[in-house]
Amino acid sequence: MTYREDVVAHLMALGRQLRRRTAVRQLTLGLAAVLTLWAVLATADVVFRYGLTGRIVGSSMLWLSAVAALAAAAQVWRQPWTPEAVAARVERAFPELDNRLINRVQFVRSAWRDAMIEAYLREPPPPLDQMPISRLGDPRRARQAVAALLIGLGLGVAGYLWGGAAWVNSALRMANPFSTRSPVTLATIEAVEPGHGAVLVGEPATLRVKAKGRAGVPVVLDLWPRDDRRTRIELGRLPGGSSAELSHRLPRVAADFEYRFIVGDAVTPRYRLVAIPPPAFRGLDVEVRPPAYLRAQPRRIVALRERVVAPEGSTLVLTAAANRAMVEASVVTGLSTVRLDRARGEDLWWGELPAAGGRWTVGIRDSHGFVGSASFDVEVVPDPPPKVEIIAPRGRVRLEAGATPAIEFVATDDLGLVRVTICRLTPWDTQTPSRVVAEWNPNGAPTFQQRWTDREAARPEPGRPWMYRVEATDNLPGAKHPRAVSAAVVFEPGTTSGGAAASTTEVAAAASSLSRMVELQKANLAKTTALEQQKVATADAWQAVANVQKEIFQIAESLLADPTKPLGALAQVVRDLHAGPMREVIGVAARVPSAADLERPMLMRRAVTLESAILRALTAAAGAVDRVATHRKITGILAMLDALVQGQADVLHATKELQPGQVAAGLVTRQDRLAEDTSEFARTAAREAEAMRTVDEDFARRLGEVAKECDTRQVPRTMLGAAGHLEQKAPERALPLQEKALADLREFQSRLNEWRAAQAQAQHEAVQQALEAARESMKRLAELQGKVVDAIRQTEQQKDKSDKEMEEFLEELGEIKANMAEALLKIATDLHIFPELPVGNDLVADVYQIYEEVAQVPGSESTPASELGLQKEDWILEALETATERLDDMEMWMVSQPDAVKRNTENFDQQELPQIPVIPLPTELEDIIGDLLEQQEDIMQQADDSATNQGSADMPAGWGIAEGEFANFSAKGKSGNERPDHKDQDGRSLVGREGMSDGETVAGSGKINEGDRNIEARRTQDSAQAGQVQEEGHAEARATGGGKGSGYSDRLGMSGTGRREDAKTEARSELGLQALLRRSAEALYARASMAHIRTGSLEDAVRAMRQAEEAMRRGAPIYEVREFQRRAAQALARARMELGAGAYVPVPTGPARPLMGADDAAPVEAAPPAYRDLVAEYFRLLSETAP
Amino acid sequence: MRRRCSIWRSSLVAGMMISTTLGRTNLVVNGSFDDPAEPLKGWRTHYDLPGDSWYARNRELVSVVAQESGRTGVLRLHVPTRDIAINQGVKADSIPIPISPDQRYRFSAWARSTGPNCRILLEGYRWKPGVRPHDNPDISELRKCYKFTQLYFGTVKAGDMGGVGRSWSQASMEFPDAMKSDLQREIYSTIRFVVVHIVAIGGDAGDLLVDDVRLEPIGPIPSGTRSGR
Repeated sequence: MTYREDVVAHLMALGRQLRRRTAVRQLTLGLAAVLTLWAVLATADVVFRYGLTGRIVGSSMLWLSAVAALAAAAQVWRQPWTPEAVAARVERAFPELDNRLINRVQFVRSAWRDAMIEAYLREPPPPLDQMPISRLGDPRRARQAVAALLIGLGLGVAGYLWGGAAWVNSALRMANPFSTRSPVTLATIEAVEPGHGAVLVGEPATLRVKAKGRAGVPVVLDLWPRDDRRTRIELGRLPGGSSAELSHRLPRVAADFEYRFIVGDAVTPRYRLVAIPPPAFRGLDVEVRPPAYLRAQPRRIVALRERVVAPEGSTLVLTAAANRAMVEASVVTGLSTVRLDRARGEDLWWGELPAAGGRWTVGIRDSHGFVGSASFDVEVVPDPPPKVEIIAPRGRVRLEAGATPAIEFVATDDLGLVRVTICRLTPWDTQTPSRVVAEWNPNGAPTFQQRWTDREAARPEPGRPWMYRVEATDNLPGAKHPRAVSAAVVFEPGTTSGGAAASTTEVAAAASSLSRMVELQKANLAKTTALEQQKVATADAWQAVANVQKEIFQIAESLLADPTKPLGALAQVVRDLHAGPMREVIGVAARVPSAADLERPMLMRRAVTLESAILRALTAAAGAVDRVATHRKITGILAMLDALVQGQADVLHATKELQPGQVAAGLVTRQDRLAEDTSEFARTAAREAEAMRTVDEDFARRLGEVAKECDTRQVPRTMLGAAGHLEQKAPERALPLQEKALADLREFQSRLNEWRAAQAQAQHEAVQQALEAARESMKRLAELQGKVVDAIRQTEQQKDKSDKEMEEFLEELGEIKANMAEALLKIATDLHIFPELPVGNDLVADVYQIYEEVAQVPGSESTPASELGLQKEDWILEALETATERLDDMEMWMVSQPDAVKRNTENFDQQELPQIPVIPLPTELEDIIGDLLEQQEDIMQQADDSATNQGSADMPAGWGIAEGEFANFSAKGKSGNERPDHKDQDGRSLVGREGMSDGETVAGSGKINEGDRNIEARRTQDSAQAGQVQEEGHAEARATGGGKGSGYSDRLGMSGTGRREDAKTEARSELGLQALLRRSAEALYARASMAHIRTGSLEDAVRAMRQAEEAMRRGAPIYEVREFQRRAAQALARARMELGAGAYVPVPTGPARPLMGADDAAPVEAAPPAYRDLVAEYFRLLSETAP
Repeated sequence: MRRRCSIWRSSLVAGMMISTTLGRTNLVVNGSFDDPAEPLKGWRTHYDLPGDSWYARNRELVSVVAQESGRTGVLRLHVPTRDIAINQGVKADSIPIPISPDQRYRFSAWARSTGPNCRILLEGYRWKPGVRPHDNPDISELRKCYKFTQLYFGTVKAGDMGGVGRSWSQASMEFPDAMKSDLQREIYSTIRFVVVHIVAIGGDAGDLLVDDVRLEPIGPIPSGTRSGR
């Protein structure tokens, strides 16, 4: 269809063409606008370096404008044009058409047509198809659009030309605000350290920036500390060229801060560093859980303060509390590294580990990677093995004929014992070197003491003695049972003849030694006397004297240390010499040459006196050696007969227990051995009867008869017959023979006992006579002493006391008095710290009480006790010396919480303390009292302070009334509302509460109120002062200490050196008991000795008891007393063994050991002051290590 | 005349109502420290008896301030230094107040502090030996024999100090309570007078401010709990 045929269709097509052209122009305009905006934004970003917000805003504008342009073009494109609209546009472009086109279109599209219209339509349409279509539209606007587009593009090109890649970068940054493109700067920041993060409080922090740019570009650090104002720091300038790194070090970070770097026009974002405290431990506790078999309670230890000591096999529960949340905790032990578990929260960690010795390090790590650690030492105490101590016999012994090997031992273990055995050793038998001959199960008891006799011991072959060993095993679970093994106990078979021979040899050697000592002493005394008379004081001469005395001293020491005790009863004499004159004279002789002129003659005289005493005693001892030897020999023979009787009686008893046909190899052996021993006894008796005929005819005759009867009655043969029947399993036939043998032996014993009883009786009478004579002598001496004293008094009353004789006399008297005072002033050790009381002997009659109500702080009764150490200070002594008048007091009140502090005070030596001034007392005194606060008993005991002599003459009393660390002599103490600590308290005070004290009462009256419930009786007699204290309403309370000589409250204590006013009591003192024991032992020893009964170690027991008694009397430390008592107990146990099981004598296995035991140690107070602690420690160790 | 009588009656009724409403008689003389002529009337601040040397300057440190944090007439115990606070403190005592053994009493006070702690309590007194009893005793004629539980201003009603805070608060106690011991009963029975004892002590330097100290009888002691004389 042609244009002419359808104008409307043609116009519609033309309209579409025009519409497309308009849309393109619209789009061109929009594009131009977008490009222009983009160029502007990019240029602005180059200049302003927008942040994210700016970029988002700019980018939003850009994209919105682009969308708007597209939308506008689309709008134009989509909206259709009507033919009339197209015709109108055509008419506007071609005015020459003269509206014909539009008219035609309207007529064509009109429904109503008249003739004119028809005629008009029949006219040809305007020649639209021949018109230049390019004239349609608005070419100017099209050009404008193109121009706008070109401008936009031009701006882009210009921007690129201006900014280059930087401009392009900015254009892209603005196109995509979320891209990571950094704004382009003149300088470039390549890296910042540490960026965001954390740093430890107190630690340094280094901030680094790595940048490049033109030389001279400044680098600046901005800091925003949380706890301070903003700071700007110039770090320097870029050197140009390649990258450079600049840094700034903050020496100590205290709080969070932010920072950024500025390098020229490049700026980093703000970084934040969080300051966090370093990982540390709030607590590090270790709970030591001992193994179950120890039956010990778990113990909690603060590992950061205390050393962790754990028994072997313990489990350690470690609890680490960090100062903040941690992500990991571990512990490195000596064995491994173990991660700890989180307990509760993120700061508490725990772990359960087996105890391992060494250093443990606990490490913690927080979420930032910071770590902290703490170390502590763990000491694992291994379970000590059991101990076995052989009480008897000591060392190698020789068993007398008829005696049976017997051992007394004690096994101990801290855990408990499960098995104790005695093995018989046969080291010559390589197949079975040992065999268990006795076994016990102590069932876990910590101590097991036993006396055991080897009833089955056969007579050993020559060179093969009886050897035993005691073994003890404790109850430690697992395979490793600690075992203790004693040294071998060796019994050498002996015979009476052999024993007698040995005894004779030993006694002969002792006699020889004594003779030697007498000769040496005699010669030395002569030499000393000559030196003294000639007043020679040369060093050589006196050194020679001292050397000889040393030799005598050493011989005596050897004799005393000889285990065979060759001196017998003479040992005590030599021991006294050894401990006294022999030791002293060496020092005296050595001091003579260097002594002052006035002292030298006295020392010479003293040396002569001591040597004379030594010579006298040694001469007497040498003369008595033969008697001692004879006594020992007789005692040995009688002991052997006693052992035979005892042995035969035992065998008879054992035989009666046998069933017919029963095998009793051990019994046969014993009966055989008894037969052999009886034969030996008979031979020895016959021989000794001859030898002793000149010494004691009666005993020799009786002994000869016994020997003869033994042969006549064929006692050994009878015994052998009995042994044969026993071997043939016919005990019923052995019994008559055994009974006959026993009857014969008892008859022999009876004959000799007659002599023994008569001898003892005679000796007893002789001793009694000697004692009576001595008593009479003492009485005469006392009378004489009385006369001397009277003479002294008369001399003192003489008017003229100026003569020299009187002066010397007074000097001597003063010395004696001083010595007496020193001896009398020894007091019990628990009071040795206190100074002598400054006796005021005042009484304050007007003492009044104030009662105070106190509301006790809830829960304070169970406040755990803590300890406080208080050292002695010089100012205390100065204050003591300078106090002159009574000080006023401040506000005082009752405390509302019980004392839970244990004050351990370092005390002054008594010599350090000055004379304490006695401050006058007021006419009235105020006491404050309240009801007792409640406190758990165990805490109360734990909070008991140590006794103290840190004190003051007076004090400005004030504030809470409680027991402090100072004694006070101003009587300002109050009764208070707490029980006094369980300790002796010094000073002056009112009556108050019952308690232990060493002070003086100043209250003229008062009531003893409830206090310490565990008063201990005083062991000293302190002086009571004059005056009577009126007790108000006698309470059933007790108190100790000095004070007034009240006759009422003397139920305990309040006793002085004057008349004792103690109540009658059945309680005996420890010292009295010790003395009683010693006297009993001495009496037993004397009776046994007189009756020719072996005394064995009874002498040692007596000696140890005497030493213990002496130690108690002089107030020695308890360890010293305990050590002597332990020795006495052991000696008694040995004596019981020796007397019960049969006679044996020690066999020396080497040279005599030097005397180094506690027997020979000087008492503590005899040591120089610097060594007293050491000596006391020596006794303590002896006492503690011994079972 | 009729009108005057009416006013008097109205006043009497009003007074009775106020008395009933506000409480009972305050036995503490000038316990509110509002005496216009003599603010410290009824209080002892000068200590010059033997043994009082620590408190020689005490009088200079005690005063009454007219206005203090909304309260009028307030006792001020000024503790100038920490040294005084931790030693003798600053104190004031009321004049002796006779009490009856048959009565129960309520003791109360308001206080605040800017530094020191305090102990505010009643102290019981009896006649000194040899002094003939009379109606107007001087403290030197009396002897202290009893110290009552102090006023606790904090939440825990126990401790050595009163625990007064920085803002005004009131504390009170009633007595007598059940006797804990024969000793307490015996000594309580000897009390003839009580003295209000206020001491600023402990804590730090500053002022202890006290107001409205009241001691009021609150009725007879229930039968069976009397201490007797």
